[in-house]
Amino acid sequence: MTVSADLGTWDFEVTAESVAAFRAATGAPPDERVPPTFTVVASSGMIDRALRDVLRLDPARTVHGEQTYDYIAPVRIGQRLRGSARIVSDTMKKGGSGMMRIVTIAVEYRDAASHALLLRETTVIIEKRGQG
Amino acid sequence: MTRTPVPIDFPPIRRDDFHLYAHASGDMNPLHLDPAQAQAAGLPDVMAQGMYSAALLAGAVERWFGAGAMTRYGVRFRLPVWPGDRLQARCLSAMAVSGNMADLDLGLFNAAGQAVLSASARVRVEGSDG
Repeated sequence: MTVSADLGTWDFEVTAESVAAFRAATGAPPDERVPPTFTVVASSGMIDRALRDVLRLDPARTVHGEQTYDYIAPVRIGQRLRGSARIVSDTMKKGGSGMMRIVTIAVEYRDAASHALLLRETTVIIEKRGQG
Repeated sequence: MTRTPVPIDFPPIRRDDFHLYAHASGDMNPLHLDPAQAQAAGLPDVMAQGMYSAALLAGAVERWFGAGAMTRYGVRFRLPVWPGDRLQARCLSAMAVSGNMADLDLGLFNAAGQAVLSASARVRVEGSDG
């Protein structure tokens, strides 16, 4: 099944503190530039809520399969981002140990002037053990 | 054709790295933080957040090509990363595409030579002096 369920929008401010913490946690040297995967900070809670509340899945039983980013313009410290998320696909596939459900959630971030900055897609896999 | 950069080795992975990353990223899943819960879920130990490993590999691309060089980054999570693992980021191929862009085939490998992450990226390549 391919769907396009809107998961809502939210605002997120890119602070110097959160960028510094992310760089330190990933072994990156101090720098004012925003690391490529930094927007996970603004997205992971939203994706967990979507899995739990919209898709009725236990986030602890899902496996992160793939992650993609398209960088359109730089994300900078001090920016206020608006994120919007939607489910772009929700399919079943036969895997090695039974059926797997594969869900892809897309998140787009725009700046205050509504210019697109970044698109990210998260694909999670849920194994349906013992189910046909 | 663009030259492939030299591999980058990371220090051995520590449990503390997962805690630091959890607080920095907001991914507080206990399978990365609490050995008892990880073992209850059938795992031998806590494992790294997938996005932690993805951030290490992305950082390697920035060291090779410069911050802000990537225009696309795609990661496939292949194997868990455990405390004590020694990881190496490798750029397996770099192919010039159009203008000053190059497509990279990337991997993050453990000491057994297994790819824990495979990835692709498109980067801007500035100048020709490497």
